[in-house]
Order: sequence, then C-alpha cells, then structure tokens
Amino acid sequence: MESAQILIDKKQYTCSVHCSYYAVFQYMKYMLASTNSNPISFTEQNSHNGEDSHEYILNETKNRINQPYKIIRNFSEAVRILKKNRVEADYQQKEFTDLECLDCKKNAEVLISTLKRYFGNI
Amino acid sequence: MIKDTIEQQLREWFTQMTNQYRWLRIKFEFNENRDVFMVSFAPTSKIELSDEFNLAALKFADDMNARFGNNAPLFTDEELLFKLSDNAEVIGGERTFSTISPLRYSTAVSVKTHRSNYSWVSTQSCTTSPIKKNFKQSQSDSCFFVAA
Repeated sequence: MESAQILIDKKQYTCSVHCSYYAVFQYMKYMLASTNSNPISFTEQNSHNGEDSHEYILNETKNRINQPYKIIRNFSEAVRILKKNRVEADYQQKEFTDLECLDCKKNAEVLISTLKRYFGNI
Repeated sequence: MIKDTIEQQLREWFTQMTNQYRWLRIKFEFNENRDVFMVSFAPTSKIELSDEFNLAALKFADDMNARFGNNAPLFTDEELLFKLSDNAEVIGGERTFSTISPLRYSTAVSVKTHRSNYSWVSTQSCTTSPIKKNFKQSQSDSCFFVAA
C-alpha cells in the first residue's frame, strides 16, 4: 500500500492500481499460510499456478471467512472488481484518474482491514 | 461469442432468481469501455435477510468466474461498488401500486420504511415521474422506479 501511495504522489495513477490490488492478493496469501484454520503453505499455494491462481487464493480465503454469506459475497465482489481494475491497468489502454486510483487504494485498505478482522491481526 | 453466452446465462439466472425471490430487483448492462457485464442487486434490506439468496449469488458468481475468467460479470448491491448508467436494464421487483397514464408520464407510488445511503431506488413516495428516455422494463408487470 505504501508503494501505491508513492505512485499516487508521483501522479503515476494507473501504476498504483497494480500495487493496490497486489497488496490485497499478497495479504490473502499470507493469511492463508498463517491462519490456524487449515493453513495452506506458500508451496502448496504455488502448486496451483496452472489454474487461475488468483481465483484459487480468493476462493480458499472465502472458505475460511466464518461469516454470513452476504459478507463473504461482498468481500468476493470487491476483490474481483479490484482485480478487474488491475487487469485494465496492466494490460489495456485505460488511464486511471486520480479519483479512480484513490478509490482502488481505499477499497484495498478496506479489504485488508476485513481480512485482519476475520483472520486476526496475524 | 462469449458475450452472447454470458448474457444468455445471466438472463436465465435472473429469471430463476426473480421468480424465486419476488422482492429481488436486478439492474444490469454491458459496459463497452470495460468489456464486461455489470450487475447490481436490490434491495439490500431484503438481501441482508436472505442467506439463501446470498449463497445462490455467491455460487453463481464463482461459477461465472471459473468459466469466463476476466470476462466474468461484476456484481454489487445497490450500485455500492460501481454505478450503472441510465441505460441499464431492470428486471424483477415487488409489485407496487402504479397507474399508467396514456400520456408521457407514469404514476408510481412506492412505500419504503428505510433509507439506504447507496440506493438507486427512490425512497420517497412520488406521485408523478417522467419516463426516462432509455428506461427499459423486462417484465410488463414491473413497477416504475425513479433513480435516486
């Protein structure tokens, strides 16, 4: 998230979206490896590189959030939207505005807070 | 084409869900800039109370992502995570009193006991409202709503 902010400060808005998304993705991976609830080691996580590894990480994270389905669904939706933004930032011609990238960063921060709330501040 | 396949599957699922959950309103459109279908469910007041619906929506989204990857639709409730345009199609919804005038205005009265900060549905009673130019209704017995 620090990298995202540095890029935003330097007006590299589109680049910052990449960092916002990957902050969440890396946090999910870390939570999965560190949780007491059926952890998945980094080695095992990496063995799923053949399929959509990002979707795998998200699904395994969701499986360990012991909350009502609405909360799990909202979390999942927010991650996928951020992921979509990341794909557009990395591979397409879309130029993100300052407001859009700040929105991505804010959503990433909310998602990470959510992970900490449900997995503990590991 | 993938887009046509996704749209067909969306509409089939929307029909199933709105038949099963009569309170469910679905607003959706294909976003040309983002090359993706964007779907918003309402009202959150009912969604929050239905574990069954949330599980069904969760599974459907997972299925769409597994099959279509980056082309999969995006979902949200009451346009919280993204906004839809005035051209978005609306499906379903509870029936409320409505009088259709032969003239250009329709009359709709909806009674709401709550206010949602993110609702795109009018939370106030209204007696007259102009029909939006590109407003579409997929069900002839659905009610008219004015976007907040």
